Amino acid sequence: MLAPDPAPDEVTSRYLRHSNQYAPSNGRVKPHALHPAPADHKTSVFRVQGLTESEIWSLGDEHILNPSGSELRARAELLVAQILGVGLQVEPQEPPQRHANIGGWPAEKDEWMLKAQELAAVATLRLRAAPTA
Amino acid sequence: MALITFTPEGGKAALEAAYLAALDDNWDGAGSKRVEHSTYGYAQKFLQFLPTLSNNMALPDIVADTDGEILFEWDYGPRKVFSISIGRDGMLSYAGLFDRNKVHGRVSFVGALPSDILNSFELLSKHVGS
Repeated sequence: MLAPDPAPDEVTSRYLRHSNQYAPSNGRVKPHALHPAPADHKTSVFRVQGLTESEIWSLGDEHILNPSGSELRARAELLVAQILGVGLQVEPQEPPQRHANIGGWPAEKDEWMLKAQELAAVATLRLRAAPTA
Repeated sequence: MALITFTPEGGKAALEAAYLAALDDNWDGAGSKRVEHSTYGYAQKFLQFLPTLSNNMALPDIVADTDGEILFEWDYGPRKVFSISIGRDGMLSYAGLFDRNKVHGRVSFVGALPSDILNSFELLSKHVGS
């Protein structure tokens, strides 16, 4: 059971749907992968505390539409403390279960692009293991 | 980190791919806005200036952003990143993180690269490889 208010040491996961949102060669999450959506000016994440690696990928497969039609290959992990550290917020918003948003983005684009760069600098890229034949 | 050196042909191809991928609203299935032709036009003009800035500039990531703008992003590693987003009216939003230095702002793009952008490229080049 997750607490209503995310704790600073809680892990969130941003599922990356496009291969141009990350670089496996250097383990980088690209800043634009964290940009807020135009509709609500928030960045969708899931609270994955307490889940196994397999369960984290299953959660993404269940709720995230991947344009290529294939299963998700990458995600960005961010601690709640890291998100708060750049002046943004984590706002739980269910359903779906475990869903939350990164909110508190500035209104001007240049300002929120900078926030996304700061977030990307501390994000951890997680790649899905290739399926075994 | 292996970077692809910028060439006009490579830049043009990447820009065209970004534009064609986002011709309709909701192009990514997540409510993103389409890239308008005027945005593409300004991005093409912007692209023409890049070879004049440096002889060994890396090819940036050129992608459609979720708000319908076209984004040029040079990512040389954590805190060595510079992004420019081009809007449909030629407005450039830019942001850069160069170690402890931060830059950001919005400027109109009217025929020449604004000095703020040129200064930011200079900052980026100083921090790349450091």
